[in-house]
Amino acid sequence: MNAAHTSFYMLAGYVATSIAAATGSFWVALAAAPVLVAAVGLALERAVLGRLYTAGHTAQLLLTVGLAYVIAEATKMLWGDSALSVAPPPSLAGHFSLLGATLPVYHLFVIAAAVALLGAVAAVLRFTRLGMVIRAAAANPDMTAALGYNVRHIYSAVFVIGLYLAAFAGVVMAPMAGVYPSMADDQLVQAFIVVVAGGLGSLPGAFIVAMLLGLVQGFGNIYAADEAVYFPFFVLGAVLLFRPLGLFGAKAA
Amino acid sequence: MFEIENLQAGYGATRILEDVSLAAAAGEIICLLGRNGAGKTTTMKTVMGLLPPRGGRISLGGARLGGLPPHAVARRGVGYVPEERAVFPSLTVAENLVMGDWRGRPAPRKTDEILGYFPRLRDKFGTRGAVLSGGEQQMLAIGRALMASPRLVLVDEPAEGLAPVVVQALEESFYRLAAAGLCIVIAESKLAVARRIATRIHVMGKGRTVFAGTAAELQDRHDIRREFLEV
Ligand SMILES: Nc1ncnc2c1ncn2[C@@H]1O[C@H](COP(=O)(O)OP(=O)(O)OP(=O)(O)O)[C@@H](O)[C@H]1O
Ligand SMILES: [Mg+2]
Repeated sequence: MNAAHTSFYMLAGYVATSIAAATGSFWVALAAAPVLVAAVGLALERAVLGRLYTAGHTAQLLLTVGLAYVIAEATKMLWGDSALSVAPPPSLAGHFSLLGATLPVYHLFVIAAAVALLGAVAAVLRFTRLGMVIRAAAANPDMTAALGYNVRHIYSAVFVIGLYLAAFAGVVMAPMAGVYPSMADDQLVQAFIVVVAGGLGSLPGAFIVAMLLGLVQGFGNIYAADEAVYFPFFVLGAVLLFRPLGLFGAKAA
Repeated sequence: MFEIENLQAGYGATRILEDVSLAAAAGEIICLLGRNGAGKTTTMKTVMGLLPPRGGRISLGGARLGGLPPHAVARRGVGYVPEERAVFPSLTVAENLVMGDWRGRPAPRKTDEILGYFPRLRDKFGTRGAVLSGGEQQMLAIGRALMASPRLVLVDEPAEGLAPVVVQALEESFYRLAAAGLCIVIAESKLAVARRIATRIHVMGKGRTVFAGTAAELQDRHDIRREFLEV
């Protein structure tokens, strides 16, 4: 339970704008910003968040919401509160046409990056020893500890990997969506809808709902631009009406 | 080699273990015998570090275990097979065994040795833990606990809910493991089972060790049997 997750997504966007401005290269920003942000996250985890693994969801939620505010204010102090933009790298700056519509090539890169990242995460979870230990610890932390694994370290690793992914996404999205102070909140709402409507803990569920949201918003923007912001909530409501635990939700054992 | 002295522990404000003591040597099979609620599981959890001890001493080969976190207890050579077996449901039999060795990918020789004790697992190597039978889960949980070559294993009510043939197969594997020098502590609620497999029996009643000795010695203690074992 980490309400500050999307704050790191935002932070990475801002860090990337600065790195891109300083070096003139989006690729340097893409390589460096997620690592920097994940390092900041690891330091925070070591200092405060790590104590909360056994403290229950409420304490985690409260502390991470607080952290989200701290990061938001710190970001405004450092970068101001107006929106910034990053240019996509020149190699991806063009446009292409599809079914009569003209779209930025960069959108293809965003899709490819998302697919690659999802594939990489799935492969790590499925095929590596770290992935196996993570799956075991998620299923039964006590048994995992009793087999000689320091579960605290496993949680830290998962946390940092998660932050790295969020930060990477923040950088990839920056040339497409810009960097602005409320981007963390926007993503948090989306993530909440995706996770709850997909069914807590279900990756396929989250994936399907994310796709659905993308379609609903895409068509919404074309046909009903003013109302489109409400559409994700209709999706959430509709799913929960028929499946109160989400698409793939299972009752906790 | 393995010693518990005057152990106290509990959950929250409730005191469960008042005074538990136990001594076991390499190659022994010790039965921790007691009725439901006597504190057998609580004792094992406390040894594993899953529950903090509130007093007393736990040591293995002269080194203190009391107060260490679970992963440190395991790394000092203690294997644990909990009451509910705790096979990882989404992991295969092979992966569950690999999980048993925290040091890294185990040698194929080790896996072979373990499968030698539980040949039934060989045919199920790629099967997910969730779909194994109760007996197979128990064998897997024991096999997993042996992967890191522990000096001591704690097995909580292994026979519970299993068919007699499976129980017999398990007991035979315990004899072979003990003969190879492993120290085995088994929680058990049936006197007949303890009599059959234990080199020595420790009877627990209401959070205390009330008897320690051989099956023959327990046979003469009508008072202990009446008060703490018979229903
Ligand atoms: N998580 C818990 N919180 C509070 N009390 C508990 C908890 N687990 C067990 N107890 C209590 O501790 C006492 C000892 O339980 P324990 O599970 O150690 O007994 P046991 O000898 O293993 O019994 P069984 O044969 O039923 O497995 C019981 O009175 C039980 O109600
Ligand atoms: Mg028990």
